[in-house]
Amino acid sequence: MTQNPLLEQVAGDFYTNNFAKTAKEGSLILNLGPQHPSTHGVLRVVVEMDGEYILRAEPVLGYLHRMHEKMAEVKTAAQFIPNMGRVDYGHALGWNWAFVGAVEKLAGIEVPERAEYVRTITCELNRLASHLLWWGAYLLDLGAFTPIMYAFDDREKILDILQIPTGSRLTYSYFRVGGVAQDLNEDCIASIREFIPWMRSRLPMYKDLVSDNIILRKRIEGVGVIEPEACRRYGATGPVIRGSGVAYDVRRSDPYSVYPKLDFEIPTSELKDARGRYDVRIAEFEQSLRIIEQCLDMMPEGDVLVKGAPKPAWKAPKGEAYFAVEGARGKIGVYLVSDGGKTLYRTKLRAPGFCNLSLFAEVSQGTILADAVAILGSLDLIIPEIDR
Amino acid sequence: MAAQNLVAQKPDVIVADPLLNIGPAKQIMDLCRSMSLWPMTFGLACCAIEMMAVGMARWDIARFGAEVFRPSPRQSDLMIVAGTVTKKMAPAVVRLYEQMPAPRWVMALGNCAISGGPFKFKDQYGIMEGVDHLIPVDVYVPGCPPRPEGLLEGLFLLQEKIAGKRFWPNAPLDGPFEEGK
Amino acid sequence: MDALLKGLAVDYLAACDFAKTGKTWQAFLPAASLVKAAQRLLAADYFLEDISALDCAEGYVVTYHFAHFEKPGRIALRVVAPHEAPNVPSIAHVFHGAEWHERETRDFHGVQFEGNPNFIPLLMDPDMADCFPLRKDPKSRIKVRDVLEAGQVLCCAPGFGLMTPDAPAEAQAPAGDKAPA
Repeated sequence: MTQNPLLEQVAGDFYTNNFAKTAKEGSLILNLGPQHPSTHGVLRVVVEMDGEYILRAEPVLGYLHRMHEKMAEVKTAAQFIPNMGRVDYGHALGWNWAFVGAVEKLAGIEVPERAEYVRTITCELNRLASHLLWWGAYLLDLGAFTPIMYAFDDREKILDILQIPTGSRLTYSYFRVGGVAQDLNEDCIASIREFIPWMRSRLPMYKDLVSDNIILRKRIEGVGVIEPEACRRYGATGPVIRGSGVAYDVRRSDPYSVYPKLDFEIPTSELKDARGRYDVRIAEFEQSLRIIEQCLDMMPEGDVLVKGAPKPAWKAPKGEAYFAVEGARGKIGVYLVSDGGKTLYRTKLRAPGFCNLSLFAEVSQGTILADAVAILGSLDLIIPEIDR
Repeated sequence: MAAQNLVAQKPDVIVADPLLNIGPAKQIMDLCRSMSLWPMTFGLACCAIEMMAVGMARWDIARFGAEVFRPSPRQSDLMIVAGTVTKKMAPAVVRLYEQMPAPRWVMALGNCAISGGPFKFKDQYGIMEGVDHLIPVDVYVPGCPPRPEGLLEGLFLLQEKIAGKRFWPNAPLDGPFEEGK
Repeated sequence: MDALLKGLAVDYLAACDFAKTGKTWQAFLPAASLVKAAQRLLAADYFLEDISALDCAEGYVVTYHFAHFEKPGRIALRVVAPHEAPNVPSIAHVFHGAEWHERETRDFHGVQFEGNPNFIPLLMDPDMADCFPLRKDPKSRIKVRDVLEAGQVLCCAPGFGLMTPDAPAEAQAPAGDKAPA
């Protein structure tokens, strides 16, 4: 759109200029990010605007590309687990699980039953924390400041519990190949039992305070409609596709661990819009609480780490393995190829947010800019996971 | 590579002399500044979530006068570099710093911002090994990520640096450390 | 899976053990039949999970993982792109999400996807887009048959020696348009 040659020299970098090549005359190219409060970190979206309407949008990634796949070539399988806590700090244990699950599949390691329950409990607690983070931050994006205060208050309670077995607040590296690092002690189990009814008692308040609020409803209803067919073309998963009415959840479709034994529902919504995705995540709070409750009752005694579990210098056997789990944002997949050497030959991380965000360009077309922020937030983005 | 050039062209930081340069007046100004720092909402990675937690109810950075997080660099005087600075992001970090009005301070929060942290390895191709290659840093807060107490302690140190005096009691060094205090 | 790829040129088709490697089918395709195979998978309601490349002695093995929203299991389609000219047709106009996956694969391995509508660096800085970090040193490259599970072979085009354990030397080069068995 820049006709002025002088302007062309100073304005815009590679991506802006590339994007502007096909811009319509009279439209405005706008850069959202990489430093922008609504992009949750360092996402950048180049948009072509006609007045307040978005003609075209292109997310630009890579501002937080931290070379995880390259690092996997330097570290042994066991040493790589801390990286998994940093790919997606929202739902770190989901990534922990995907990676150790893939290594276990590759090496044919059986995990003790108690460890499976411990994993399920901690992973679901982490999912709650992740959804709370999303909930608070999303409403902050939409202009409501108070909910994030409540969300973080509840989230701190979960972090306190998770701190006992994992030793950290955010970037957990708790799972081990063949189990978990340590058992949940009595303190921890008691505080989880205390936490469940308390969290349940908060949900009606969330509903009254926020979910039924007319301002929020006007803001997100009918915004960002995603058809299931579009989800398929883009490979979107998690609450994004469940918000479009498809009951796809890895915990049910490719069941792993103890999930087949548990009684829980896969919440879906037929609304297909930002509201649908919002409802799905809110409904998942209750389902996660149900899962944790059942696991606490069903958890057997025993070891939490298999005997002869891999040491840091352990070499994975030759072969390949793909393992997927359901993270807070969708299907987390880890694909490993090992040549039997010290480090893994190739590690491929499938980030759910990556696929979910690729939908954005199509969905945001024709919406107003303020709605684009509502759509971005409803996809629940964690940028390090997308950039890896 | 681009990022190396960037380091070579590191901008000279020019801060003009203050208009009012009378000792006691300056002291009062410094005291006011240190007790009302406006940090920029500038989250890069994991540490940003801890930065958010510090702003929220339990850790409540408002107790120390630094709760006004501003999305615009023009309105803020403290840049908390919370997370990994990649080479792709580096020009934006420099630009944001340059857009902040003086006097301005920088806190490197977390190992990534200090030295590259866990992402520094032999063949790394994507990150800056420490934000101090790009902009001057006043306070370093280690941790991966630092706990909220760590960020608060970093803030105290910065206040001490600005005002020349520590206002808050020292953390007990001999423990036992209790959570949430 | 048989029925899905019927009439297409397939180099190698095998049923795999889901419990062991996490996929139910794998197929090596000549580059020419990739787009058609993708179209059929889309028509059969599959979705694209990811695209990744594996740097092997015989070339870059580009793997496309597909899964289904209703049925369990996973399909791996593989195309081998030679090191000298790693060209693979793009499926971005079939599965729109593939655009980013292909750009990412280009960033990491330098595989060229012909027909991708916006083939610019995705994760890498445009200034250093040609460093292809995940390419291996030629000496340390492994052979495809050493690491990938052979599975229960349903058909193998004559001349396709990638997966045969006792194939003489590295007689490779993807076997063109052989008729399916």
